[in-house]
Amino acid sequence: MKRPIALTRLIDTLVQLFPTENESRMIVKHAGIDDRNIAYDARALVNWTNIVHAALRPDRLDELVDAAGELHPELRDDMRSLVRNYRKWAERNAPTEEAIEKIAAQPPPRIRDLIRTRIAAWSGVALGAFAFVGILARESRHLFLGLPGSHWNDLLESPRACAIEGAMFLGRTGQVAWRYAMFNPIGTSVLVILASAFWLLRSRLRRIVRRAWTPVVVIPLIVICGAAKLFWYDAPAFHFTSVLSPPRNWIRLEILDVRPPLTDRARAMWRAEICTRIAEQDDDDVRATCGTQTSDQHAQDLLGTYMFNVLFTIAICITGIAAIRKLILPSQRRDWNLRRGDKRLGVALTAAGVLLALLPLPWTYSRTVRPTDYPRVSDGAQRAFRICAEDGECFAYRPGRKLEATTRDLPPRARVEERDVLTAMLVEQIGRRRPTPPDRGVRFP
Amino acid sequence: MRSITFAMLALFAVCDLHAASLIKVLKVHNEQPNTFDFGERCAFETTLPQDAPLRLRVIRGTKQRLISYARTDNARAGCIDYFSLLVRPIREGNDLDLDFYLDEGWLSPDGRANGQFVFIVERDDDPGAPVWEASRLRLPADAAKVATYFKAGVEVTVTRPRNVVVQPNRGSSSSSSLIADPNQACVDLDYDRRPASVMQAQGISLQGTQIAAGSQ
Repeated sequence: MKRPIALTRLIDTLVQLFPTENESRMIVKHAGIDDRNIAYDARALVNWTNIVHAALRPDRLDELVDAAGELHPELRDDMRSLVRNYRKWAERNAPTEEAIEKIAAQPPPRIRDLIRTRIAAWSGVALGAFAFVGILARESRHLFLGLPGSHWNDLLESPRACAIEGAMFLGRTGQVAWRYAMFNPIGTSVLVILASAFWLLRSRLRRIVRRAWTPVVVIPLIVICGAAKLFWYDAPAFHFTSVLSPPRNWIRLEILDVRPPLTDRARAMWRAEICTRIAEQDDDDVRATCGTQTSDQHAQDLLGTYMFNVLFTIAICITGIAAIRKLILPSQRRDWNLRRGDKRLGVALTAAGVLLALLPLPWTYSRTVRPTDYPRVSDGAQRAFRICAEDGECFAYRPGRKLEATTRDLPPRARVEERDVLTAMLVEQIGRRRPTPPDRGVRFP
Repeated sequence: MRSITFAMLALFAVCDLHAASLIKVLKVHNEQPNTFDFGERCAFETTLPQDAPLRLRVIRGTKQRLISYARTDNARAGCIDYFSLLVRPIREGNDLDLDFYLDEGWLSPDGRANGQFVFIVERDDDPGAPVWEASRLRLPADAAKVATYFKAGVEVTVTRPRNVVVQPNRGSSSSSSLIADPNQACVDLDYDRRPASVMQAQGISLQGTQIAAGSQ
């Protein structure tokens, strides 16, 4: 007979509340349970499994829960509810003395089993997360380039491709970190030293932030940080849409018709993106847009912005997940053991903050640092980029022209080479003469 | 001296009359406004006839406003001058690509309002001429004739960015250089109706009838 779920949850709750052996001895003594037959253990899970099973025969669960509830009155009702659930189960199943004996004799799950279960669970979660991130990254790329077609169909049609896309997003983000380190070795070294110092001093820091580590502080902080990150790093990039089609002069920053207060930020990000590709071109418009900085300096700006976006996202996610865990599980600190309604609200708000930080990242990635190299097919005098959005849905792009639907198959003698489509699009706009229409229709005022 | 001047003016007038030739206009009437965003490439999708080269005459203003000039006292002299830009587009299949981007010069002269233009599609009698050139169009000051001419064109609006200030175009062409010789004759208009054709600009349907009109 398997141990009932209510009993397992009761053990888990007591593990969280009284993790040390001394604390458990105190609770057992206070409950008046004879502890001569209890095998105390330094491992909290084994320890409380043994104690709870000892309290089953004779049934002293109420006394145990009352003793624990005196120290944590905010969880008393929850623990009593678990005991009631266990009793209901016992009435329904009418376990024999032998069955109860077996339940009592069940050892806690082995670490190896726990790890195996967790690995399986986390692998599933990671695969799903990769697929979801991949969908966001692909969809963002479609909108960024202005590819027509059926959006959001990837999820059902090609989940594997989306998972691969998500994994590539992670890999390319790693590449961005490496490229940024190459551009800015001093800044990266300082960052690594700070991170190492933070890791070494984490126990001291934990003591310092302990006072502030309360739901009242942490939950609003995560929501505010998630929203601020979205505003500063992601929202400006949302305006980089349809850069290939219809053709527009993207060297002119006025193209980004972005509302204040995002105007300057969006312009700065777009400037870094295009000037990484064309800063060295000899053209008045390019000089007006890119200034005197080199393309490497613009690339450093672009990669640096994205890296800070990634770092803030990681920080918000780690803090948010820790806070959610703290909210869900019983805690030794009373301020984290909220009432059920408050707990749900706290979890919802924290999750919202985490999602605000996390979801826009692949969206921004596809519009900023993601490589835009695509095959350029030369067939005689005709040259066109071939951009395939989904299986069987490809578009031909010639700079200055709209995207045209084409087949995946290449012409027989075509020459194919990888080229940056964004650079080709921008170079087409450089050095053009501009006609100016008359400033009025007739000579009359 | 005076007689020589009069003789020269008479000679110019005769030359001008000889220079006047029939240009064919493809009449297109649009059902929806043609709106381009600031910075967008000026290009159309058309089903215009492929057999002859085309050019577009661009005049600043709305149809109504341009027609209204012929009804006012401005037209007392019998002719009315319009300042225009002639553009010879690149034609590739059904695409009519004007090969430029609509920058600040295509907004209102102060850069604060949308730019409004009438594009008239004409058959090009001089395909070897520059890709774009400033041109004066001298129409007879007959409201009905002027209205027919402008109704053959399409109205194009270039929308200014809503949240960004665009610096006015300092290098815009001054129309004053296009002021005509007052003695020059105005054109006769003649119409040659042909079967309707369909023109589409950036997804906007335009239905039209080919006509022919005389110009300068």
